[in-house]
Amino acid sequence: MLLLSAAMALARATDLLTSRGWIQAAEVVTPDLLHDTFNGLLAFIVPGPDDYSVAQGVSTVEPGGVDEGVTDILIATLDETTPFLPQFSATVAGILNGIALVVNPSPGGTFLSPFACLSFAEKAAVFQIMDGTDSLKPLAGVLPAFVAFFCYSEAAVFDPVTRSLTGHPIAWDISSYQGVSDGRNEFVGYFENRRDVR
Amino acid sequence: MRDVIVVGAGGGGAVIAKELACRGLDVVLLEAGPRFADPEQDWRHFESDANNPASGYFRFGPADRSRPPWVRELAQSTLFVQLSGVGGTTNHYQGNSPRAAPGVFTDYESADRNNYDLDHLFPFGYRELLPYYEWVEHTLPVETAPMGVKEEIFFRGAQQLGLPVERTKDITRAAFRPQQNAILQPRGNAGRTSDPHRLVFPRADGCTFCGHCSQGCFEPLGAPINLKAKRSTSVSYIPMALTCDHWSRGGRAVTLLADAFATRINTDAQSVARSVTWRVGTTGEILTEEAHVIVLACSTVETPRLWFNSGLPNPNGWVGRGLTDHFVDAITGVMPFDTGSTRGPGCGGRIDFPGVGMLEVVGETPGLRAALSAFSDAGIPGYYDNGLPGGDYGADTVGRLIGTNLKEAMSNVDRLLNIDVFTDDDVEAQNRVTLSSNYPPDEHGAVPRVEIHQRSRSARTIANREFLVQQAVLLLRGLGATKVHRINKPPFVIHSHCTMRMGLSADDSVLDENAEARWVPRLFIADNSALANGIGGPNPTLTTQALATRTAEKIFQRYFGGEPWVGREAPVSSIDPAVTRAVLGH
Repeated sequence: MLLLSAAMALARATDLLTSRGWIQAAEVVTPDLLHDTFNGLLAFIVPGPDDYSVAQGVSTVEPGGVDEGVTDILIATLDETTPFLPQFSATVAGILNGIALVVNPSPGGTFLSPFACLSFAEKAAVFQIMDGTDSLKPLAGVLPAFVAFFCYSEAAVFDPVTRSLTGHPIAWDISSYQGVSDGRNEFVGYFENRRDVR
Repeated sequence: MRDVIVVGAGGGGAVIAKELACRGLDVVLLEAGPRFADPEQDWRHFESDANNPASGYFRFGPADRSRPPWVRELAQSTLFVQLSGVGGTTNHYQGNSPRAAPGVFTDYESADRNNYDLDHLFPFGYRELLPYYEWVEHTLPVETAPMGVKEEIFFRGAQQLGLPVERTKDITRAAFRPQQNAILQPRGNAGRTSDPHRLVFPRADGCTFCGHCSQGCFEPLGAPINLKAKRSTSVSYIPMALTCDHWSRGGRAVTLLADAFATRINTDAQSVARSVTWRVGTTGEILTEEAHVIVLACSTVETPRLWFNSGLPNPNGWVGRGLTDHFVDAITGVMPFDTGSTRGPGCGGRIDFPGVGMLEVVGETPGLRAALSAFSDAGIPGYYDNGLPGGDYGADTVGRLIGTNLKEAMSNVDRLLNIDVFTDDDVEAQNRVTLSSNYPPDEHGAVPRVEIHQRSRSARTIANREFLVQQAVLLLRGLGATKVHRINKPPFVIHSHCTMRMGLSADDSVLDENAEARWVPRLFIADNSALANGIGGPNPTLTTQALATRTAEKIFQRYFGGEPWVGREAPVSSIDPAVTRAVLGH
């Protein structure tokens, strides 16, 4: 629902954002650029040892969002949530890249995506601009939570057809989660041994 | 012509349908979303299956998961947690069933009376609602929560704050307590093993401590639907409603229609409610049926939307206004020891601060925990704060957890201790539901718009939240947290109320003291929107269910010549063997 709302707010403000140079037209976002942009976003929210995390200057030894392989699922879910807005994921990528060029007109780096080429602090500046812009604020609010959900759930290995997992989720390793279960040996008793109150 | 049509089979609608059907009335219960008749088949423990924002089975959308969710305009960054489907949001809830703070009713005379929102009290006394609480508590049933590790730690922290333990069901003072939960206590192997072979009913009975409340409870495996551990209305009131001709003398089974989205309430020339029109999702068919009484229980958003789309009167402008949401915040402590955060019921402990609000210790699966940690209105710690007021009170960060902050916090999800803040917030006209003029209508008419003015809440509301945040930080520091994070959330609406509120004054309420619409006779409301206020901070479901039971009596007396039953008869529990036999078709 939040995604829908963010998408609709964006749709209403596309002309304004384009006039400010804050948005690249969705049509010019190629598949490679799309993946590059979302990999840059994944590295920003959940960094790992991958090239995108290293390039932003904030990386970790443990796997992160890029290593999990959720990029395609992330893109597909964005588009599925907003079928009335064609290529919503490309619109999001266009915004991230458009504002990236405002924050740093010559970001350098080897990635197609200007956003992916930014430092961590510059990516934070992109979100600061989005947070300060009425039509982009809902998107700034939802994107980090949306990405974090996919990075820390079983999304990367969940098969929606069989409704089962195709492998062991990296997410469970990086959160030390013991995995799903029908029950746990966790019951430690009742406070003051009291099972009822009046 | 039916006796009663109830619109919405969630936390309130299921209650009123069951109660009236048990009196022998001919009741139709409409539900827009999926049926959820077989939790073991319908639900899984995987977050990706349940909670995916586009296609998860827990969303506000149609039963067909290949279709997108239904649209709402949220005028600000907001996470509004409401589910469609039989059982409604109780399928997702954590079963917490506290009573309201007595201070939000007219008969409260204690010294701290002025600490409450006196302008928006319930139009009757707390003592009047007590028998209805007791009736619902027996029916669900509501039981004292057992402890897992996180509750044991939380209670130790509360004691270190100098708080006493509350030993009644009522809120009498600032105190901590095990929750009163609509979750069956563990028996047999439940809560004592992770071996699935030992967790099959009846060897395991009640809560198995699986830690998957948010994905829907279908434990213990093999249990009849009315004996599942968490008492969502889909497994408690609905099975009773569908079988009350078997176990209730004179009862008549409810006719339940899922995939039926109500689009219009029709009135006659005198503005009396006469019929309901709905759309069948799978076929697009439009149907209308008449009834002597109509009850709306579609949610705090959909009930005012349906009102507006039906062209019903709104002479004082209060339809949709007064939304309270407990101004939620969240504080997370990174602890140097195991907390069992992902294990056991979602929430088994709380602290009440009467006139201020409530703290709850909560646990989630890692995807939801990470998402909630990254959902803030206060920018990114170390980079910008978004200009949002609010102190840190000794927390290490305030704002969105991302990057290494998120990685470090999430490196062991079972070392987190999460405290949710639920504020006793004022009823404010500015926070409201209207119809969207920005979005196109969908197949059910104009879509709703939710408007919450997060940064201009009343001074009392803001002060209450800051006090609660401070207490949560103190508690976590006292327990030895190595890091404390205040998220400072944007509207995170997991409790919502009052958008069709009942009230003392006809100037600022939609419903009279019996929950009947002031300007539309024979039209009643039985969801959270009917509540007069945010009930002081506690989770609202039990109070809505008690109020719905009271409303059922009012309907039966006023329009069907019946007598009240609460306090005169013994309630039947939803886990009574007679109900189980009926559910199993014996």
